[in-house]
Amino acid sequence: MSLPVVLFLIVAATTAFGALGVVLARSIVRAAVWLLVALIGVSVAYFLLGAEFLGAAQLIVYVGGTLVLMVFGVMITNQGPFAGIRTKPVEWILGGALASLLFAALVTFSLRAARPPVPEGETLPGAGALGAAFLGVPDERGTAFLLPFEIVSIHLLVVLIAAAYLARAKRRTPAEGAANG
Amino acid sequence: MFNPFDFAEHPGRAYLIATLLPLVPVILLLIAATARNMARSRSHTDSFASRVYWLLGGDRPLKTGGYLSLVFLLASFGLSVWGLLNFFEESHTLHDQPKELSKRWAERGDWLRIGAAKGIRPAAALQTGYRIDPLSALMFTMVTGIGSLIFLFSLGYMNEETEETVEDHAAHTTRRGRFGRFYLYLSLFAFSMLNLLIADNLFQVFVGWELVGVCSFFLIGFYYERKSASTAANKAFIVNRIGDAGLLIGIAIAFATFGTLNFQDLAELIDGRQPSEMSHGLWILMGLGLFVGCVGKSAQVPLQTWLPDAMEGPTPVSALIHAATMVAAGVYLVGRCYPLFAPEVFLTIAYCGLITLILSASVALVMTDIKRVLAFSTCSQLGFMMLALGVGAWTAGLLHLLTHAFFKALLFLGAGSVIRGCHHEQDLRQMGGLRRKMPITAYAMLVGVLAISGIPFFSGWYSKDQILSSALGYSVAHNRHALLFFGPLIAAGMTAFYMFRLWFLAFTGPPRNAEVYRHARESPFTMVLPLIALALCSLGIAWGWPPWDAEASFLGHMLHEGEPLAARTFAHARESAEDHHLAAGGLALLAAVIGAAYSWSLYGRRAPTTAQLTEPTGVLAKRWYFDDVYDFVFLRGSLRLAALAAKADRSGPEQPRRYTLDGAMSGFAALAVFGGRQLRKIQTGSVRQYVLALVLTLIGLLGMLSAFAR
Amino acid sequence: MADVGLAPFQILAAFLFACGVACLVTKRNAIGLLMGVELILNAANLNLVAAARFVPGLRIEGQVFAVIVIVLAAAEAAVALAIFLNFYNNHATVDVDRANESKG
Repeated sequence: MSLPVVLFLIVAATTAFGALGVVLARSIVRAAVWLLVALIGVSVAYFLLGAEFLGAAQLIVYVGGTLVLMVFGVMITNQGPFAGIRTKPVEWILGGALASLLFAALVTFSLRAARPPVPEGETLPGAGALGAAFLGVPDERGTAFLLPFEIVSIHLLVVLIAAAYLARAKRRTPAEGAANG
Repeated sequence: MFNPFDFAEHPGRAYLIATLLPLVPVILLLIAATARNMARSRSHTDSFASRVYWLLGGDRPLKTGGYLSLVFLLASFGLSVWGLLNFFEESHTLHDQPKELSKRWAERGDWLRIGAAKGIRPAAALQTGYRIDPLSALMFTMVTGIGSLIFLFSLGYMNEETEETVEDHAAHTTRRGRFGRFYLYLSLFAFSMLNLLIADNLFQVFVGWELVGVCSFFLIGFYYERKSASTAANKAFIVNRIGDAGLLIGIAIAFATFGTLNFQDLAELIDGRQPSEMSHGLWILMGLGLFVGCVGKSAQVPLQTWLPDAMEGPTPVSALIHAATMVAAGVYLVGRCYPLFAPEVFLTIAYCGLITLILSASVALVMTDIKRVLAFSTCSQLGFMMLALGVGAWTAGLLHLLTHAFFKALLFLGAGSVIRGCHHEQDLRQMGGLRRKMPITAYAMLVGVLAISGIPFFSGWYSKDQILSSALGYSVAHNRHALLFFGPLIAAGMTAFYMFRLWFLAFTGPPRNAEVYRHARESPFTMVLPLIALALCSLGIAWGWPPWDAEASFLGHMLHEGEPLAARTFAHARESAEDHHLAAGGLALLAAVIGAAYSWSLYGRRAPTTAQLTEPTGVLAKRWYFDDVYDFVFLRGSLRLAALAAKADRSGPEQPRRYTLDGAMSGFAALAVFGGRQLRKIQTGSVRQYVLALVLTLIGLLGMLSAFAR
Repeated sequence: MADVGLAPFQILAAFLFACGVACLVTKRNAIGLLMGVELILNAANLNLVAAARFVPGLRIEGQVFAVIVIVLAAAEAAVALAIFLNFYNNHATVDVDRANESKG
């Protein structure tokens, strides 16, 4: 058993354990912590695959950004009758059965799919090539991703504005108050 | 690159352009009419709109539309004459190279491809194309020529349609003039008819067929304020639909069996023998289907009832559409489809023509409306043509079609001139002595009467003589069918009788209605000129050298060249026709002279007595009760059936029963409401149930994918 | 890494995906649902990067789309949290079973 295989097994086990923890955790705060484990596991898997830039981005954006956001959300909403939001046993059974069925289907399907030959000794292009592709510099095959990049940028801008609008504190203006009553 | 003006390589394209030319005034008139109507509603407020409105004629319709249509049809006529002369010349030089000739004078292309699965059978296609042969070239020139003359005639006849208000005495209303609309329909008709003529396949013929049908409907119902006109238009349309259904059946059988509708291909596949692809019964059925279409269009028994009623349209329309061209389309199609027919079908055609020509001629004996006489005469003459085609006299039948077009157009235009001169008096009993008031009309019509009666050296004589001698030859060769000769012989006598009766009643003797006589006057120049032209054509269109030989004429010669090979199956009858030619001609002439003489003794020698001029009664005046029987069987029958069905459907005035049609419909509605209620419950609004459904779908899809991936 | 191959990564991704779906089905807390979605997106991303590594034709594409997915996931999380906070302000709960006002 070579080192990469051992490393992969460790990382995979951690990630899978984390994901299972997210599902099974009763408390939402604990689920957030298990999610942290799973996300870090995925970013390590990226490093293992040789995609250093993506691994770093995963760590920064998810672990540093999204997850913190979620914890904030949990903290703000984690008041009141939380005990009422409990999953019934029937739902556990149903959900578990469905998920395992799906897992089985996906595994059989991906194993049956044709396996492409593994190129020897090639590494993934790094952040430089990625950036060039995003900026519209075509590589040797002529592919460039300037348009998707622009679309994602605009999407992000729209989403930011929308989020700010949705989450803003609702203060009644004097005019509105007068109109209402 | 398709160059429609490539006449050197494809002289047939001249006909293509000549067909499309009448469509130009149609489009222009439509645009002008739309602009005028839009401007009219706004002309009070908008100065630009009012200027447009006045430019387009204001309250009085302009005659420009008529001139425009006339010019384009004349151009079309010129092209067709050029084409005819060229074709005549080339058919001589390229006589032994039919491939080369058809390459220059016929083209086709796929229009709609009907895709069959690859490899099973080659995909069939509906094609469009044109094919010029002697028949279509002659017919084309005839239609454009007569059409131009009638367009010219209409400029005078429809003059009152340019007035701001037209008083319709028959409908007791006043309305605005509809000059442009008249020419719009006429031009559209010209285009459709020409399309029908140059078509090289049954489908394109069908398209033209329906288009001329709808133009006929519009024009019969031109004075649609009159109840009789709108009813007649409906009748013509519906009766023609019956024929068209038969035509469609025939076309469908041909297409399903052979996968092509091209005349040339079909003729090669069938050519008078039973093709191996279809059973004998199907072959007969296909022929009968095609013939039923022709029966409807050419007003043969039993679908003849619409044509006399179609005389409600303006008289030039009757001349162009319901005498010279459109009704001849049925005969034309029978001539076109000649190679496709089974022997039994030919016999049906002959007998159908026989019955029609006898019945219609007998009815024409007693009619008193000048246009009705001519209408029944048209039916009868079309019967002659059908009979000729049925007994194998292809050339004779189609020659009669051409000559008949000229003298019947002449007679109708003459009648139009008389009607206009007498201020819309159509009753022969109110006329008399008009020869002195309108001499040109009278003598032009006399030429037409002589031609239709079959007096020697008038055009009608050549064709009728040939038809009768062919009929005699056929009945000599097949003794059982002797009626096929004696019927037309008697009808020829009747033709002479009723045509001379018409002429004597209208133009000779003392005036029977002083009021009408006093106001009668000769028609203006635009109407007299076509009469003279048509009279000259009726006299000499079939002349040749030597003058007593019909096939020596240009028409006969050309038609003879175009005769399909299928006509050779009648060789036996033809030989005996050659032998008995003189006898048949003599008998026909005798019949005509007796008819004319009897007519003269009754109406010409002295003024007819009032007893002769009372309202006709009896079976002839009732038109052999066809209308009454149809009315009783089909009209009342279907009304009764409908009433019965309505009664069965409802127990009370507003109470639909449960298990009838109405109930079934309500059941469908209730089912939809119930289904909607049930479906509504699925929409719970719960996110997790949606996710559940989503995941289940995903699993299902993955399962299907893995099951069928291999 | 060549001796590990594509299939183990795909199986890991499938497991993450199944966990995410299980989260979606069983959790009633809105933020729990959001976590399930994040798991699903990560599963997809893992597949993309693994494909970029092991399929020659996807060398750059796999990474590019992984980056795009990360960005969109972040945006989605931000908006979803904003909606939940709004919902919480109005209803004082984040139980998705009560959020069925839009039902037909």
